[in-house]
Amino acid sequence: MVAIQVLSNGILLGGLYALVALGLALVWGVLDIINLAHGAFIMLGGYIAYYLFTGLGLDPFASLPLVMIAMFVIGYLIQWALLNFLVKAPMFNMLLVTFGIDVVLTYLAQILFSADLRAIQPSYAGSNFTVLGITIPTVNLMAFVVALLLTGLLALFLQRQRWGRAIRATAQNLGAARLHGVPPRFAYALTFGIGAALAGAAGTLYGTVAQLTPYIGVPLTAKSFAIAIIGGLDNPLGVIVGGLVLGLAEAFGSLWLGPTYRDAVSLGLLVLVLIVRPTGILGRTA
Amino acid sequence: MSAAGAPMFEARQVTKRFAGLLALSNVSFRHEAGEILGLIGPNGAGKTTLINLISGTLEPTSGALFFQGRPLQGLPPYRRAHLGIGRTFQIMKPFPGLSVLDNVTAGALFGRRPEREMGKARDAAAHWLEFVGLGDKLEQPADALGGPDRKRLELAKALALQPQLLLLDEVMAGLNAVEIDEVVALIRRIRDGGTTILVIEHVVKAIRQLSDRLLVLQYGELIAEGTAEEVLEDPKVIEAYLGRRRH
Amino acid sequence: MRALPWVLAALAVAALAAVPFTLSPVLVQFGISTLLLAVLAQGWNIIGGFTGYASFGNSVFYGLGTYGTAVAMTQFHRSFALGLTVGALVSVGFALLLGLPVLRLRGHYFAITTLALSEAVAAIIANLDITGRNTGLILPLIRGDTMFYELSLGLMTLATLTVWWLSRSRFGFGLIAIREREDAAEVMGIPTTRYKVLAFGLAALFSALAGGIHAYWITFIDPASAFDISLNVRMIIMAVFGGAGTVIGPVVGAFLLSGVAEVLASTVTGIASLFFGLVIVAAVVFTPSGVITAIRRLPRRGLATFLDAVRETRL
Repeated sequence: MVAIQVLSNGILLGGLYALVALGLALVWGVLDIINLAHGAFIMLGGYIAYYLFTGLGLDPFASLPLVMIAMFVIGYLIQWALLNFLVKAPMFNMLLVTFGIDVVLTYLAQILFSADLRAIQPSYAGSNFTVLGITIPTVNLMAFVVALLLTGLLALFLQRQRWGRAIRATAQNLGAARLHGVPPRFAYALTFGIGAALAGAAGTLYGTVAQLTPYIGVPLTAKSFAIAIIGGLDNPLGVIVGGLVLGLAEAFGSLWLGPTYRDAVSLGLLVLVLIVRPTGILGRTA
Repeated sequence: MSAAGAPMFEARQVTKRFAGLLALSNVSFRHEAGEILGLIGPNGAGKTTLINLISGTLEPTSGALFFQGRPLQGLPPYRRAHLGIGRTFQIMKPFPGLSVLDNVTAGALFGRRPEREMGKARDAAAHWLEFVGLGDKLEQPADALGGPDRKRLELAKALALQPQLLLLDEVMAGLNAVEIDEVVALIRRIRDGGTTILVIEHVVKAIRQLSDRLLVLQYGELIAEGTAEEVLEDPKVIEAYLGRRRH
Repeated sequence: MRALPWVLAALAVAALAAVPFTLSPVLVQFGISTLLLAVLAQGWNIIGGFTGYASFGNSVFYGLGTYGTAVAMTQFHRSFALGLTVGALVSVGFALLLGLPVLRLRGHYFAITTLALSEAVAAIIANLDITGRNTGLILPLIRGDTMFYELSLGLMTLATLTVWWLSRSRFGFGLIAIREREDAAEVMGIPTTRYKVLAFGLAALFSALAGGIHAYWITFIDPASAFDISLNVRMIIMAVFGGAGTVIGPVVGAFLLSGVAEVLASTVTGIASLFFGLVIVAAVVFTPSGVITAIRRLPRRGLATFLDAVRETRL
């Protein structure tokens, strides 16, 4: 049945979307920083994985840790050396600066990598398997699993580990963070670094199921917003809900209204959520 | 126009509930024109909530509020300001980027008898700032003021609205004895000018001097009402203050 | 009222008006683009700079103005004047209607909602036949950049005069109070909702007119260019860089940044945009309140102005 196939597509897409949005939601929810360069980080992670694959033959799923470490370092440095200087400025200054970073990264990528479409295609790329009459592409399923795993790990990290708790404390209160023995500048840089690492992971997976160009940054940032808001920023698992809602909405929207309406559907949904319940599905009402 | 014989303000069975917390419960009282009504009670008793309900920042869960006989249900704060209700904030809220003068000019421009011309509004604002004793600080940035001066600024802002009912939320907190006396005198002069005043205060000496009548709130309920002498000797009131100390 | 600033302003406008008769056609074209961007920056200045609601989707008003004008002129064969009116009405109507729910949101949420709204409208227009779907519309051709230049100059002057009026009027004062502390503004008698929506409508009006002029000038429009997201960023950067909440800041910002971008565009593409991004980053770090404000502070603090700025906003 078409609907069940579409349902399956939507769910797989949703899982990946959750990871796409996770880094943005983390940085936004904890540091109250909207990183407009988030999509560019995803793009960068994808290209790093691409070159590791074509240059060193590294399977994208195997290169995930490397990509994440590289992106963590980049993110950490950006927060430490640049964004930390703007934390107390009016809100749109931060938006502008991250936008500037997005522009820099996009055109840097255009110059270094050219505008050609790229895809990471390991040997199992085209294969799929069928379950109960539904076709499931192998790569999409693997991406889905990894995405959910990373999201779950982050949630655990924030709950259990010392650094994780310190990050949450920073979100509440800069003073409290100092009590935990973590200087705020470090907590900020750490959080931003983790956000970038997660974006890098999303980029790697994205490169296996879709195509990479230097320009995918902005639409992915926009999507991440939508997902983070729909799911709600209070709970790290919110992105899973948001991702699934968006994935399913896009899948069924495509089916019922036609593929050209796909963006209108996700945006319409976003506007609706913002007006009706701004704190998101899993959010606490203020 | 108020209904004949209607008090300046009346609360009838006012209740306010916040997700599980009962902030005010069945509060009823009258506030007559020209009266200084004091409101006291331990922290968390619901005093500021009551002011928020009168000024329109919040709406009651049930019950009704009347200003000069006219129901306030559904009126947004700015309309209540136009009617003549002015308030100060306990956690002071100056317009940070603006000068002291500009802060008060807002009230002159948009209050009960709005001044439409910027120049005249600024003159009126200057007059109110003189009245509260900030006449020499007109051009200073509002967020550069110290604590006592901030309170005067809050007062001037509310006065610029030319309110008929003035709600004062702990304007004497953190002031020394001399400053308190000055503020008491100031409040008396405001009342002499024809304004009805509701004063929330912790400073018992001041509230005793000022109030024509006194209300006492505890845990959202009105537990006593009467003259200062009657109320402050009421055993329930004494127990409320000296009894269980929670916070 | 001191006469000097007015004399200077009049001279500046006169000098600008003389451009098509004295300078090269390329500069005239540059002028038109820059003037229209200045209008957008001023429009943003009204809702973002004065009222404190940083919209990230004013491109929706520009786009609606573009399409309103284009549809009236191509599908219904109306005059340019009528086209502009239609574009303005649609845009302002949209602002007043959607302003009510959207302006209830604050800060980040407001910014994103406006962006999403702009994208949503663009996506819808790309699917309608009357607007030419994704292929767009072609307007009647008219030669004469001079006319468009003077029109754009006129619009920019009007927008700037409006912002000047805001800076001295009761309405503008109310907007500033809303920006500074909305809940206090409300109890001071300022009808916040009404004022916010009006400011939004005003921004929509100027943005729409700019879109309409641009559409007739360029002759060809499509959803991607009419609702171009980068317009939002450009108008905000210009307004903030020049000085949000000031009267001429956005104009100065528009001219300065357009000039820089134009000079860079003569180099390899990609590098120009890259450099532009770096300029943005540097500007935001060192002049967080805008160029005009920094210039005002320079006499007192010299170069330390920039360090002060950094120190004020660092973690």
